[in-house]
Amino acid sequence: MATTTKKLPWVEKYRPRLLKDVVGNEEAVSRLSVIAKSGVLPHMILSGPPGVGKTTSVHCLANELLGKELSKKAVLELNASDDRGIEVVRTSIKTFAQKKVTLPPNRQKIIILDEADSMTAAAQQALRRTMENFSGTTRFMLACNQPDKIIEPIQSRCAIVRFTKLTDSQVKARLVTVAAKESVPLTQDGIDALTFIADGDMRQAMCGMEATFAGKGDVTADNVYQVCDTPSPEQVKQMVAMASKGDFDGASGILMKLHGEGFAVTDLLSTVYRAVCYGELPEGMRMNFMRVVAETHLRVSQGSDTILQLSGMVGAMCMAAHSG
Amino acid sequence: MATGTEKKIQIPWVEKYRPATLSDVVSHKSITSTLTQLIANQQMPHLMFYGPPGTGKTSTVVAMARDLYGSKNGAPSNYSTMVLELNASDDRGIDTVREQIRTFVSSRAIVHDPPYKLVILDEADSMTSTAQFALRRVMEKYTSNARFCLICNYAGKIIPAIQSRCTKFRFKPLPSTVVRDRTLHVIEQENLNVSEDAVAALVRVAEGDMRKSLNTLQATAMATRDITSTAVYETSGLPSPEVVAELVGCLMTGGVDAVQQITSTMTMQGLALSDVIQGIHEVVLNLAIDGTVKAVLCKDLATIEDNVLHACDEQLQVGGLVAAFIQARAML
Repeated sequence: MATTTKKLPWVEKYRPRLLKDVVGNEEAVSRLSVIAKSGVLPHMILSGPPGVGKTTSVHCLANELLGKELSKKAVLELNASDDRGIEVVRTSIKTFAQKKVTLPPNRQKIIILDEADSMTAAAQQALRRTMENFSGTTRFMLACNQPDKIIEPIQSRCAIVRFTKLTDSQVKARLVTVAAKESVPLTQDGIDALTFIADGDMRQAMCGMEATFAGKGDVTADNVYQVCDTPSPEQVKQMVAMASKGDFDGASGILMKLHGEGFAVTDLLSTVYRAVCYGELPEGMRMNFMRVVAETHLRVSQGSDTILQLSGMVGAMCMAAHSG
Repeated sequence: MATGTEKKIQIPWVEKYRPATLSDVVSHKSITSTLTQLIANQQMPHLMFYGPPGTGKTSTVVAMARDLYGSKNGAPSNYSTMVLELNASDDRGIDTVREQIRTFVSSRAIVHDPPYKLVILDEADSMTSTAQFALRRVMEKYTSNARFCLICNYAGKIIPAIQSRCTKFRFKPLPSTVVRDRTLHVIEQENLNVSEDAVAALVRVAEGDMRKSLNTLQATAMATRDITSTAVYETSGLPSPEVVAELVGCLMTGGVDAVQQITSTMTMQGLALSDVIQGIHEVVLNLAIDGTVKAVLCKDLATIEDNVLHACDEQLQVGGLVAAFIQARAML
């Protein structure tokens, strides 16, 4: 950051420019590709967890429909860092919608509203009439994490495309490609650690790799956990394995140690949850453990974020293990 | 405020003994040395400090700012013109980011030695996410003029976009030896009469939180001349290990009448049930009984603690506590 040359973060540098380069979510992306070919573009809502390629897909689509030159004039992008209250809907969005841009036949201007779930309800209400009035010349693309935060009338005007988490192998493949281009020394356990932390979020995996490479040089599992600073999943997995055998003392000992290192109770819980989900447990016990973790999480988020709740969780796990 | 001979105004010891320079910060040597290195190499990135309260986050950044902008070689201090400190008590909505912070960082100071200003955002996890989103542009655009330092307890509450722009430092709870040494230092400076077990009690109460240790010490010192462990526990309102041991003994042997006994002990000492349960939990973990029984006990204790936090009647919950122990004893 101290150097004057501007370096792009890898997330931006390796952002796909074409729909065919987008990793994962084959079904959603193939729907978009069909739209790109035919040019029949409905209003759309793209929903899904962070870092799976929603914004990237929208940009690729706009690029393929309008081309590089036109998309400068005919695309308006607003994200959460811009003011997006009702005023903006009434002024800049409307002005843009009214603007005349010479486009090839069957092409429309595109308004991209990124992170649309953070728009106020009032602004969304103001949007619905605008969407209809200018639908002849302008299409709206909304990207959001929680589609239920988009008001019903807008949902009914849009085609909804759902994106899901990427699989570990998809994230891994992409990491390896980027690592080769940036000549990052990557070890197998380093990749595993990055994908574990990312949990299907490509952006996070990429950021993690860049930060580890910048900070430590080598991307090994230890360095990744140190830089990204999550409780070591190895220890948590060991804890879950002990609990599944009903060994209360061993399991709670590990948790006490991790808590003593200063990890917040919520961070520990989410790591435990993932260890339970992906760990090797009998199916019935896994279900029981997941329920226990969920109940503990409810309590913790209601304010009882003490070490005792973790201990109680381990206790409940051991009891479930004993009763089979 | 002061009892007896002292007449001068007492400022909280937490402020009085706040480290003045980076080398005075007691713990986290790896963090302070990295910072010193970064300052020396003029490679200061944006910073993010996070960790539990009382582990020295604010102290470290304030000490660093003093090192950077304090009076050097007779030149006057630039601290007030070069550092902008905002904490949760200041309005920090999106308007502040757009107006106050941007105005501060957009003007550039030419003459000064470190060519950048410093914006300290304390308790950054209480900033709204819209304000954080607005901040990320500002951080990038004015990197040549200013550096940001965000301080928070929960890293999870800072949006990933900002996290990826900062170098992150995690502050662990302080090791008990460090808390002990620093507490002894203050005791010596203040000429206090503190017994050995009282120091141990202070360290125990603090749980790695330096601020808690010093505050408890000062509060106890105001109450009495001779500081004993009993006085420390009394001031902090936490049950002393002896009381907890007595309660656990009572729970492990007594019948239903134990409810009465526990309630009266708690009322006499003015203890809160949630603190008592925390204490009992610690003892239970170290009891020499079968793991299965401990598991059952801890599960029940967790439920009771949760009930207490939902403002259930304490007397009834004590009943539940006794019942839980009687059931567990039946398993032995």
